[in-house]
Amino acid sequence: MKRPLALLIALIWSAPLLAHHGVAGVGAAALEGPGAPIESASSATLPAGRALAYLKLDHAEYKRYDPTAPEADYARYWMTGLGYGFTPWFSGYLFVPYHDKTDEPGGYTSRGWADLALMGQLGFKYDGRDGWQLNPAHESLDDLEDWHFTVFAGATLPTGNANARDSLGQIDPGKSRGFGKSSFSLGASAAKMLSPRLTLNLEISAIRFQEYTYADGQRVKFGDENRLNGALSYRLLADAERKFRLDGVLEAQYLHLGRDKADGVGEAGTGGRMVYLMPGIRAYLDSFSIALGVKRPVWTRLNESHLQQGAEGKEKYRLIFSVSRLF
Amino acid sequence: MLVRFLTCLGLCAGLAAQAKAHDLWLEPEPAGLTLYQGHRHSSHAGADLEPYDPALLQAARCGAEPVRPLNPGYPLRFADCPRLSLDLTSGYWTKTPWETRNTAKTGIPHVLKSWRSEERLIRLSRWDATLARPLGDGLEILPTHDPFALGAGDKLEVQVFDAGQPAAGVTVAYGNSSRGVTGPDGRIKLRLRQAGLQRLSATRETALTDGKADVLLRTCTLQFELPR
Repeated sequence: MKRPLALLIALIWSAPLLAHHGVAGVGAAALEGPGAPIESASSATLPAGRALAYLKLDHAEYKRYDPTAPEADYARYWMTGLGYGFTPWFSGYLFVPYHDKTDEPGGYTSRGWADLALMGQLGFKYDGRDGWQLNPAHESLDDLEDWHFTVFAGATLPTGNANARDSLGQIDPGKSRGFGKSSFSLGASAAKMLSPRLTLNLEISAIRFQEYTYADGQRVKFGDENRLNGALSYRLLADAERKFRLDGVLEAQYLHLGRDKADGVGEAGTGGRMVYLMPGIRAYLDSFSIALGVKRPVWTRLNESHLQQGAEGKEKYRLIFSVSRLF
Repeated sequence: MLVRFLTCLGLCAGLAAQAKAHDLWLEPEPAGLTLYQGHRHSSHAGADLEPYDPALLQAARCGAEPVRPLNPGYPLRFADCPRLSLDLTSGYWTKTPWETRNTAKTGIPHVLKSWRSEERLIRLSRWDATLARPLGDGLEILPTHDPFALGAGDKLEVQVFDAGQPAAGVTVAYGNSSRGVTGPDGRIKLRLRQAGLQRLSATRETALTDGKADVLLRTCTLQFELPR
């Protein structure tokens, strides 16, 4: 095994499993309803019988340290998705990611469609009068002030090319466009309007990978991913006549990455813990929702920091943009 | 739901606001239940009380029985009643680029929109499940459980009926704030924000074919009081 940076970049492939995070636009069911995060999981399910189209870009720009060697320059993780509300309390999603991981000149740049992902989301709420219940079909703005929760689970399908080879004919698992086997995610979210303008969103989630034997015989199991996210969104303005709303959002994300294993042995230069802060905005116009945020690591404890250029925690910044529309 | 709700917020509520820029409510006084109009309980600014033409009143009922006001002039007063229901109308309204006039659109140039405004005020003074049954005519908004057992911060479920049938998709407001639309069973839950006078309103707009206005805008307001 080699290139810890490449392995770490691969960890970001978990993004498809969490891509519903940006779907949060539907969380604002009305101009005065709860706000939604930029990237973390929202506690809103899709209305029954309605579909959601979704596009997200996660542009990561990496810090570079060695001017004499090609390092990871940037990565662009595109995500298209479709969601459908099967019932008021259950939504299903299909995500199709496209990845562009670009090194500095002389390095290995990899682009292509990655593993498809499927996800199911169950929504429920707590009402002081009626207790726990699955999300009902109709809620007033006052109902939307209650605690809302979701549990979600997903899996990737090994549709991406896990055995792509570089110019030297070698397989770099970190730059492959698939994991070779399914990975699995499980999470929960909670949301509460703290005031008519301020909404709190919380998320806890985990992703687990399976060991995969590549065409050249190497066996790799990527490290576990555990997330704890919190977001505050504040309604800055709402214009009922134009069906427009603008929210300011501040999001904090804690990420714990386990150490990768190659041929059963822990890999140096992988894994660690970090906290990101992301200020941003979310705008709603009729059935559209657009979100933009800039994410930066503000606290990192990487296992071998000096070996982890191009890894999560080593970004200059990440630009998160998403647009979604409810049909 | 989202689009429909936003449309209702933008159009129904806007039109309703034009039609009734001030509130009507019944005040319990020693001389009887007195009908007032103004902004005493409104979230927007305006005179505390505004005189009205007693001819606004079309009908009054205590329960299902027709009643008459205790006096013919302003302010109208009524004998105490567990469920007093008043039907009122301010007639036709027409909006042009320059003004909003209390008249039918007939003969008026450059009409932007026009409507006939009808308002019903239902006041409950005590809880009895029989009082919360629809009488079966027009628009009605009624609680599905005892509202007098609640306090500020609690939620009340109400049901909206039109001609005695549950009415779906009707915009419902608490005070002057639209809070959502009713579900297929005509039900919606609203949070009671403060003690004292409670006003929950349902507004429905339907097309008119009498040539005097484009739409009929009906509002039914449920009124009751919680101890302060």
